[in-house]
Amino acid sequence: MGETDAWTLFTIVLMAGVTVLTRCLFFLSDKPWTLPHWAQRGLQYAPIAALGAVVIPEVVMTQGALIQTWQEPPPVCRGCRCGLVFLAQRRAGHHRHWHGCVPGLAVGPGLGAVKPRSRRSPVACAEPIKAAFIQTRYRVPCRLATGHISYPHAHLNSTRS
Amino acid sequence: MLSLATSPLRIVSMTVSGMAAVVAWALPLKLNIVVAIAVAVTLALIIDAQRTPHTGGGSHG
Repeated sequence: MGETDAWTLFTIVLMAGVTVLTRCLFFLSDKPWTLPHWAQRGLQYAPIAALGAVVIPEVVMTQGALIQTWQEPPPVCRGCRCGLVFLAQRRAGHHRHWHGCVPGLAVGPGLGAVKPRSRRSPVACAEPIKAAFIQTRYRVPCRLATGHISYPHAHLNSTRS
Repeated sequence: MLSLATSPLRIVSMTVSGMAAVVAWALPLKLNIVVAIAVAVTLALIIDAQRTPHTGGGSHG
């Protein structure tokens, strides 16, 4: 412990050189340097390709394997819910995307806590989506801890009657 | 991610990158992401070049 050999120093120097070279490549030359046209076109597709490469495997895979059954659907459900809420928001003309993201994130732990190993039907998976829509559109507080949408004032009406 | 899917070619790029990342999942050091990006961008460039062969540009992305 505490010893630094020559190989480690060489690795550090090499990494520093690579970092400096890649960051200073654009202004090392005196001539104006622009990307080729094909590279500029390719960079238009790079961000969404990077996001797809990171997000899609996390949604459709679990423990390094594709999801074979619906026994563990939370990643798929969360992805579908966020996508549907975003598309609904965009169709409705809302540009503040966090309106759709906040309910989706809020109900996510509830969905994961409800019967994580049980077989859930597509209808059950659609419940959080419905709750997210309701919460977003009508600002009705909903809770998914029990797997069902509950309205906070419902018990008051039942106790009065 | 969906906010960037503003054209059919970008949707194709997203789908291809996701499929390639799943196929190349076994690669070490998260190289499946690099491979997926390279495959998706290359395919999008090829399709874009075939869609606009004579204009010399005019990307729809």
